[in-house]
Amino acid sequence: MNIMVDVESGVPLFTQLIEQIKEAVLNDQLSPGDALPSIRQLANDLTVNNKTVAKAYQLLERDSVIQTKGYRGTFIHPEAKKNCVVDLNEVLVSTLGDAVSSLRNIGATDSEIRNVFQNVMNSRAY
Amino acid sequence: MIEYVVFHLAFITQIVVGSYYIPRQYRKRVLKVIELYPKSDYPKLYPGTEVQYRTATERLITINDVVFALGMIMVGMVIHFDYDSQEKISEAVPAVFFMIQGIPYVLLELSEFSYFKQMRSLDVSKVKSASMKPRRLLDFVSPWLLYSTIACFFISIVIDFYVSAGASFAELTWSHDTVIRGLTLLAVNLLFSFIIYMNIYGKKCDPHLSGGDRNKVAKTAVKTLCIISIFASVFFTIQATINDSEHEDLIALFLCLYNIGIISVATLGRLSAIKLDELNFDVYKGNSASV
Repeated sequence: MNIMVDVESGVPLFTQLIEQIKEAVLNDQLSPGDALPSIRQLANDLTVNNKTVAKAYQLLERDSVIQTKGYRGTFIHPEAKKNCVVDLNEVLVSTLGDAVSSLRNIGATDSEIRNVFQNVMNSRAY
Repeated sequence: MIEYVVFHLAFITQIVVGSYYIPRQYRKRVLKVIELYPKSDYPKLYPGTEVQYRTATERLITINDVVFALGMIMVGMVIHFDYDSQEKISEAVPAVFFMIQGIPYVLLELSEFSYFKQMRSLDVSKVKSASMKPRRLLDFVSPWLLYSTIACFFISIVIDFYVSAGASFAELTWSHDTVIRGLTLLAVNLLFSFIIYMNIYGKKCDPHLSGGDRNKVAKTAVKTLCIISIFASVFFTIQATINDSEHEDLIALFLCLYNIGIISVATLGRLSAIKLDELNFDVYKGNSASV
């Protein structure tokens, strides 16, 4: 299975990588347990920066699409197919949207919500 | 007397193979590529003009012809002086000539680097492709060859140190030559390991080379380096074993055979392993993208 990135595309390179790996998982081109190339190998082959591939792998790992097993390498997660369809951005928009609506309903102003949101984000408690 | 004759035959073979036969095989290959895959149809294959490559090839032949002539003069001198003195054949003769013989090959490698650099600078493709299959060392070399290479390295070091120290092996009283040989062999193997690593995991020198062809080239390079490493280990073992013995005269002969082996594997082996009709030259066509 090959992956392709367009260096002139408006879409960031790491996003192109994430989308194509998820697409490959959904199309069964990559199956759970399949080994993936190392960050260095993929970066060298695509002539992109190691950090770009590392970022893509990091986000895919966060979404449980791939998993890193120490020195053995990076593999497709056993639940990858299920996790590929979870759009974290959609979840964020929906959850925060509900929270903002609830806060407005109890009379909080947008400015208060923003300030509290920023404080909560900066707080170590959450 | 017989060892003199055999040595000279081997030395002449080293000269003929390294400075006459192989350069011509190389020229044949370059001219065949130019004929079968002309610049008009395969523009990406030629960062320069076809004439430039023909001229460079002829220059390589000329340099090799000079080295060939020098080699023949050396043979004449060795025959004359060695027969006069009747002393042992110095291994410095094939060793020094091997280094001279290597100059055109080093120049060839350097020109290859510059060729690929030019190719990369002219590469305007914006879509880059890569395989999602991880590459592992054992995909490129058989376990048998790899483990033999490692075993030969260690066996050579152990034998050399054992022969050098004899009964006092454990007292670390090794000769200067043994330590030098051990370090040389280690340095050679470290260099080869680095080249193998770059072949497997490094950036593609040729930006247009297809994934399959890259693997073919890497496989040949890894196999070649493993065989050369085995040759080096075997030669160093022989040298350690017969040094300071009644067969010491044979070192020069073994060195010639070793040089012939290295030159043949490194060049003829690679040329025969990478066949032109098995490579995908379509990637060098005008509107192609490498995959």
